[in-house]
Amino acid sequence: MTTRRIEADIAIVGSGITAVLMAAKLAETTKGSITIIEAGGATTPFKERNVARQRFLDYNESPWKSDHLDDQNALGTAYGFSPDMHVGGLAMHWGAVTPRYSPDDFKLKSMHGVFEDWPISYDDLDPFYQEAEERMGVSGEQGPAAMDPRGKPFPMPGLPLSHNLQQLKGWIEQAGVTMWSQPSAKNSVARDGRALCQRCDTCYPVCPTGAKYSPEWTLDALTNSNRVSLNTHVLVRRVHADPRTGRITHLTGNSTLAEGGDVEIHAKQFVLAGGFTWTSHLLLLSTSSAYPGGIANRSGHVGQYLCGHRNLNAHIELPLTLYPGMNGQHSLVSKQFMRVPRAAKYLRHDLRVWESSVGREARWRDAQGKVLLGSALLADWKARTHKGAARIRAYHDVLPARDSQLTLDTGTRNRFGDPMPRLAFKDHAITTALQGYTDDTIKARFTQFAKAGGGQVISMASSSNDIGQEHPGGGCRMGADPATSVVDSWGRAHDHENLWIGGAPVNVTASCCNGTLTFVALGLRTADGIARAT
Amino acid sequence: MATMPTNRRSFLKAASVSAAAAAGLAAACTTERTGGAAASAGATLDGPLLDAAAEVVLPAELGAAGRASAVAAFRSWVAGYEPAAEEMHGYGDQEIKYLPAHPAPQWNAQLQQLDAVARKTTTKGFAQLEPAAREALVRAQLGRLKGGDRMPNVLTAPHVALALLAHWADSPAATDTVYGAAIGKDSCRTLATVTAAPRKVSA
Repeated sequence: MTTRRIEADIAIVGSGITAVLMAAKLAETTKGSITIIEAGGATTPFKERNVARQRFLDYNESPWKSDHLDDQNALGTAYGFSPDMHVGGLAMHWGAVTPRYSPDDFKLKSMHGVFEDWPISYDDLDPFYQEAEERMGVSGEQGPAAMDPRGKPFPMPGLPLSHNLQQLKGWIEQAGVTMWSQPSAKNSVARDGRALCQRCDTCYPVCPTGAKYSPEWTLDALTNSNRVSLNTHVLVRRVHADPRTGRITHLTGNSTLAEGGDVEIHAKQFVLAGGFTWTSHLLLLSTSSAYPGGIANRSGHVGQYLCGHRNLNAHIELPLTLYPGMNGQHSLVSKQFMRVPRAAKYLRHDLRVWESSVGREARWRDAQGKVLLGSALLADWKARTHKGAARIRAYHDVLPARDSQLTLDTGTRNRFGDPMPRLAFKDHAITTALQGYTDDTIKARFTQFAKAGGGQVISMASSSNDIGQEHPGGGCRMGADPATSVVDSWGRAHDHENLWIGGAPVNVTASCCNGTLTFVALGLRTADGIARAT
Repeated sequence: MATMPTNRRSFLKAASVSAAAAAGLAAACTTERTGGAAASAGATLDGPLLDAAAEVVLPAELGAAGRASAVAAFRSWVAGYEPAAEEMHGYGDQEIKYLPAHPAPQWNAQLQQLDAVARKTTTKGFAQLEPAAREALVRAQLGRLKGGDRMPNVLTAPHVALALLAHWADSPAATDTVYGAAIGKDSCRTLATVTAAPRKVSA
């Protein structure tokens, strides 16, 4: 069988949200050819998503068909759906919640005396945050400037607060907390030929209207214009470098279709944008006599400093008239506890509040265990809806240990014989020492919030670390020092001048809020660097 | 913000609009149920026995039409179920799972069991009993079940009566009935009305 050869000026590995938006920017700022390499194929087409959504609601079926490769899965605490490999990547599934990190996140050492600073500041990233918001289409309400700084207004007005969220905002303000409409990549007005949000309430996992941003909208435009080519069903398995110059020469891989043929990808610039798991995995697989630890790994840091965050989640009963189901996936947000003065004990967390039906659901036994049927069941249900309920959640910082890392597990291999990644998230000693204080403080705040509104906490729990951490990143962290980082502040590998890493892997820390917007903003900044280098 | 060349940006934006329009992106979603698909053709529940159970399980406030609608929706759910379909995998879940075997045979057996007990203890079948007698038989069966008071997931409901109840309780219509308001959960609605309390409906 002959080897399939793909050639382009810029080759991008991965077709997820960061990869696609980097490709869009490079298509505008460079003149050369651009190709995207994706290990999977297309998933559920748009016209089938209405039915897919309903079957998800009815049966809990996955709305995303053929969205993974069965033998390409991570082991260990791999929070996230790691086998996910298809056109558009995980952002086909995402909830489209798009907060920015805060300025503090980039200066933890300088501002709070803990861990390390990033090599870039919030101000450095602000224009790229804005660009990411413009390209996706983000609807957002400006929060108080001190908590929520930004250089320019949101592209679209914020999603309106439902009746329920207005009531909940009134409650939380009594507790001294300022909240506003959560920024989201969902159309609050029709935009770019896509509908406005119809609050179908299944943004995660599937939007049936197209109001939620999906990478496919951008990718379709790029491929329809022939500006970018897309190669599906190609799993990149090795990165090859010239040991004399350090330049990446080509990538090799195989078709993931039944024939499994060999593939070579030749380009001048190479971008790895396959997410935090598969980027480090590919680099570690790419060993040779010149690069015994893998590509881009002279520091030994590839796969290390995996970062994320954990949460405390509570449900609170309140003397409010609420109607669960109005727009359950939209929420209030606050950065009041993300932007805090330096303190003896470090603690930062975000805060979100949603409508909830917890404690207000139908039940089939009463408090005495008697079976409830018919009218008795209905009366019991109605009686428990006179008070409202809120869900409140705080993501809090988790600082990563160096050995919070991805390694190769030789005991589990894919069809090509490659060892699969094993992930083990580990907290830095600072986080370990503060965990009890963190939990106790946030729980006390939630209790205080409930009391301020004349309510009570129904349930409260901390997320555990045994499945990994949320919105994970790292593995190829950025830094000024090649001895302690994998890429520079532009996402360029210290060891290889034409190798770039986009998105989640370059994160130094993962803040205490959803990460996708930051991953994309970092990728767009990297695309800026590539454009200047070509 | 980084400068984006207007001409290319405009071109790509236009291309995006074109692609979006071709895909019908501006079309509103519908809320039609998917049940009744060919997936489980032949997987049906005994009609008269299910109707007889529904009369004593579902709230009388639904009326005959509401009850018939709830039962029809449940039948449709049963007909549309696809065993071994791939399950939703959420964030934090990397295991691929598949839906379990069809619940209809077990649920049919439970309906037949209600009928058999009725015939052993009376001279009539379950469907011919007075409502109070039917309710007593259902209560006796449900009373044997272990577990808490939470309404189960329809698919894993341990008894057909609970499955029917759970399916109704999960419906937008049930929520609207309970709250006496046109909330319309799980349906695609305009944003324009979201800021006001939902319109009152008769509870």
